[in-house]
Amino acid sequence: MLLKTMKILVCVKQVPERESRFLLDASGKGYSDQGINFVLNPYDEYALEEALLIKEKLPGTEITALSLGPARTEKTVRRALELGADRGACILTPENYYLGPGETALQIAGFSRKRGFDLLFFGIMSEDYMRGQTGPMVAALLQLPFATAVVAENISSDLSRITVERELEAGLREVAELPLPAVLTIQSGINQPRYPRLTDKLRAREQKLEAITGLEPLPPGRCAELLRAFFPPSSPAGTFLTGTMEEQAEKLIRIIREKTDVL
Amino acid sequence: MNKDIWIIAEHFDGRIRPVNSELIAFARKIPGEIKVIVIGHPVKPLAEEIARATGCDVIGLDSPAAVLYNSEVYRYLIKKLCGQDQPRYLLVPHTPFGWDYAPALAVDLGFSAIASVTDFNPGNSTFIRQILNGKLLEELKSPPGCSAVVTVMPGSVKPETEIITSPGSVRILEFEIPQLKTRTIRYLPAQPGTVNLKDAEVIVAAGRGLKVQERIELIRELASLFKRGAVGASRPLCDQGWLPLGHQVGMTGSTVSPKLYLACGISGALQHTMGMKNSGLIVAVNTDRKAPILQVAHFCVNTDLSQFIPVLIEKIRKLHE
Repeated sequence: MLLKTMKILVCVKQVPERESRFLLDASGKGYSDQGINFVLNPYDEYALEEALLIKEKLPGTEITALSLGPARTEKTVRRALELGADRGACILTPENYYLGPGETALQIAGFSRKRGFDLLFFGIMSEDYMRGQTGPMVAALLQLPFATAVVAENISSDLSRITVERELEAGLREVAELPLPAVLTIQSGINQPRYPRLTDKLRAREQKLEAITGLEPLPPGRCAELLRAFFPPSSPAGTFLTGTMEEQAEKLIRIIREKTDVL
Repeated sequence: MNKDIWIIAEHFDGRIRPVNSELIAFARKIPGEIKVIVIGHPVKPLAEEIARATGCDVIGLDSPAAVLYNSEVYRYLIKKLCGQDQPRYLLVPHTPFGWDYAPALAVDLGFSAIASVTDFNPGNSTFIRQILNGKLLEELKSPPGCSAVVTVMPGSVKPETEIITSPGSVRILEFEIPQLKTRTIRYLPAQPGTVNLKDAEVIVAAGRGLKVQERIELIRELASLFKRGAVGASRPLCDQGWLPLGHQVGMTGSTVSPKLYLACGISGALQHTMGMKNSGLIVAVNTDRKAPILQVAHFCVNTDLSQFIPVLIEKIRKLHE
């Protein structure tokens, strides 16, 4: 009998910690990474966990974690190994290099060709740029079927198809079936990402990562041009209440009674 | 490429979705002719409704494969249409349908792709979008000579309300679609037990600023003091498992407009504020004086919610006595 296993690629991005404070960088086009603590994109943790859950059901499944970024990105790939990914790979970009979604997708598609992945997983979006474009773009480049915002998945027993539930709005979901190989972007909340095991932590420290240098060039003229980044207006639109906590609570009740009939 | 702006309309369950009026208002900021494209089966009634309601010229793309949403159908049909004539901008709502097909469509067409924009600056033809949960904005442009697929964030512009006197033209094109890989099977309704946030008069909503799970009880208690009060939540709080997803307000959750919205410890990224910014009175309780929620709140209590909410509860209780 054939051993039932899968090859899964999980794309992980390195992003600033959620509570970071930002300053503009010298180019004025993005944030400065000085003093920023970088972590594994929280949305990607759900994608990785979903791959690990598949591996629990289909032992022998191999999970490759891939990231794209400057040298510091290695830390994020190692984090994915700590959490249970089997292999790690990193496509290195120059420091302070702006990567648009099209360019990112091109590199990931280039990496994935001929490696025989059955599933390519992405977080629904990255915490920093919040675009959610890379997954579907990689699928289009590889001519694979895809589904976004997946909140449940089930692989057929012959491993030829995957049934997914996509999250729409206000609890409504869409059920779709895709042949494998396929690309999924995983919605947050689909599972509860695990903590690393000690054995994986030790392994992650030592394991060799595949490093890829040299980016595939984008066809000219297809990329949106980033002109600048800037802060939103700093003066709040509303009024700050003042006084002691007691006074503020009293003022708030007065405002609620003046403006609404709920009290 | 011409200078047209094509809007890909969204509909569900036979109804045109309100986000389309926002896209039309957005498109009116951009110089160029507006056309609306709608995909479905049968598509004629939808196309006629849009032409009547907006006065825009509408192209309906019809195929038996388009009964339920399917990204491959959208990509195939729009690509067909672009084979004859290419617009400058393809505007798509940034919704669970729009964000699904738009990036792949951009790859298919060789267009640039700009996601979740909130504004257009006609001076230099640039699009504005939020990054880093609204802490920064960025300004992007599709280079001259390059068409773009642009997804527009719901709730970022006021919907078009112009009174339409003459309906736009309607053209229906029918297509056979070759074999599809993805099969959309059905839609599943919301599970019973989902909180009905839409009917609440007061929503007390909690975000990550809660910091301690037990403080959910404070939120519940405060909400219970109002006759039609309900507990809302930001997405990250639900993802942590502190409240079920049915409480989520914002993108992929509920869009609400209660008389009073009390945002407790919610930083207020657009993903959340798009779902509550039309509430009657918005009050934010937040220790961060720079939190984006303060851009939509009418009043702000700049203090620790774990201390403030008990005081507020006590004072409201006294009022009820």
